[in-house]
Amino acid sequence: MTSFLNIAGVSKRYGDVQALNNVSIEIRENEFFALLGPSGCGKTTLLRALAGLESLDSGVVTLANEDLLSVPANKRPVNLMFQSYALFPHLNVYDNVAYGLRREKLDSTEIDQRVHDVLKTVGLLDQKDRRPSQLSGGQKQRVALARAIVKRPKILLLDEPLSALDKKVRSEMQLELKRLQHEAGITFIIVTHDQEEAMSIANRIALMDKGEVVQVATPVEMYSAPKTKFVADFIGTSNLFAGTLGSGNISVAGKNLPIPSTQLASGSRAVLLLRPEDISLSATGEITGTLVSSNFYGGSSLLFVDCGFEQLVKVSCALNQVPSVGSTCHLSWSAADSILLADA
Amino acid sequence: MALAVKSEERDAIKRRALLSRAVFLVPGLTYITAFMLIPLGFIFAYTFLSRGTYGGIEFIFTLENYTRALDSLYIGVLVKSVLIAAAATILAFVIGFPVAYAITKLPTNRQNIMLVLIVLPFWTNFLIRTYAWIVLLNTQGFLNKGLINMGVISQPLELLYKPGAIVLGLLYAYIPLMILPIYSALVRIDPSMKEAAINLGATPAQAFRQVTLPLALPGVLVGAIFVFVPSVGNFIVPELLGGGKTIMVGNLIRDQFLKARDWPFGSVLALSMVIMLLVLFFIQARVNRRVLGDSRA
Repeated sequence: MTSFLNIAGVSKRYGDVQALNNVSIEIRENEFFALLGPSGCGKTTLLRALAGLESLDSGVVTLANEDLLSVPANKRPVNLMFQSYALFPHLNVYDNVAYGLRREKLDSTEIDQRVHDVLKTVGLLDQKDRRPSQLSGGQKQRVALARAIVKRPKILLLDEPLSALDKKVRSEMQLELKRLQHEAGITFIIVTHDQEEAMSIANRIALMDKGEVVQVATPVEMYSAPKTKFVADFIGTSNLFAGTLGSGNISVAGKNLPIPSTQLASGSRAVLLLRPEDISLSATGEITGTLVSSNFYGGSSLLFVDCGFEQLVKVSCALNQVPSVGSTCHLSWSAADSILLADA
Repeated sequence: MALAVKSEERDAIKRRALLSRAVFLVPGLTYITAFMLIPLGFIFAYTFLSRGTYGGIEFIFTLENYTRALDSLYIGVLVKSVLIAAAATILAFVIGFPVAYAITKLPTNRQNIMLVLIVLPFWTNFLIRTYAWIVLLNTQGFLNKGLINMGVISQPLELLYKPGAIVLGLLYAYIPLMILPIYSALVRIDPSMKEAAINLGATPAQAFRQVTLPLALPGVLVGAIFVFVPSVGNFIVPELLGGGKTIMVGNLIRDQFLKARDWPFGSVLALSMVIMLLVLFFIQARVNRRVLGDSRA
């Protein structure tokens, strides 16, 4: 697949803050792409720059091999769904959705047809005469979505689209966004700080930190093969043991833990990553500790075991095997399931 | 049955909560009743009574006060007052809107300084400020002398004692009341509104006209009422800057009570003003609701 949107060496500075530092990402056509990262990582700045609402200090962005940055904001084939939705309160649902088409000076029968179609798609046809203030949060979000996709943009940008919704509506909307993206055949770029959301919704994710792209990968790769300690920590639930490498093991707080085969030199600082589901309770284990707490999550429980490390060790455990709090647990795992990362 | 009892209980609780909240309304309602509604009742009653020889009223029912108010002389004064106040209001909008808009573009601390500067003239007595315009505008005043010295004109201009001078005086006096509500409407507009319009294909000028301006309309209407209401009833500015030649309805009402001693006719004029202003408030409330979609501002 060739790249559709090509972001190359993009930088932006606000005073002392480097919001974007030499960011390069290639996004494919019809991809559902997520920009993920903690607040202040530059993901929203990048999104706004793509929409033309923010200027960039340097770098090149091309869309289908054409320069995007020289196109004025109101002429870009890129539409943004705002975090606050930014629906026009003085216009009803229909006029909100038609606003962008009217700016294109399309004839009224085509506008009417397209607005009707899109309102039908998002299930709001019978609300078309209502004002935004008369809608629920989920309905407002659908209007914002309809208003953006009715323009048939090459790329739809979504800024934290689900953050204002409660959990149940959010998971419904995640499904709906996926369906819409599939049906409309539009490239979606979503900005989110919620790694679970990015993991469940996107084809690929760019994880950003302090204005830089740390890793670009599919959700599965991101989880199973994180490039750095930051990625390992940010994505999913993880146990991170920082220590010094010996030969065939890592020394963490005076204990030697087994490691997978590695390129890292003996004696260097490293971090061993173990996912909770890769650790099991057994009769004899690599490490032993006391069960401090167990949190129930429906199908399974997450155990917190004090093994004398800085942090409690998190272990995923089937419901019928949860030991009583205070009992001694022996934890074991296969070294091949663990991941060793350099510790900067 | 159980459900009915419950809803009754709930109603009782609701009623008690409403009652305890109503307590806070008592001071305000007392004030409005004592100094506004009761006097208005008197005014209304006076309109049907006859004048006393030395002011006051005689309890003889008549409709003559109303028929007299329909005289073209008084209608003319009312129309002139409305036109002068409308001119001041429109000019206040034309000048005040760009000022308010410019202030919203400043950094927040500068915004506050500018707002204080705009309110600053209110700290000086209104009469003195209006008098100052006489000093500025008369044939020997700063403006005429300055223009003559610069060679722009050879004869001093007759600027004072004309409707234009009254409009200028009213505009000067009340323009802060236009700027402040427009400013507060503009700063409340979510900046992403304009960005959304541009993102959907609007030029910056279209975004301003189709989004910013309509959303600022409630503030413009409040400003218009704030300027129009004190302007249309004003009698100090027309007295000083109009030279007593251009009588506005405010002067007329005052003269009926204090000079002509015709309280009933003065009451008719005052009541007609009140009704006109109520109609204005009604229109403003309706437009407001239409712009904002519902009662939520």
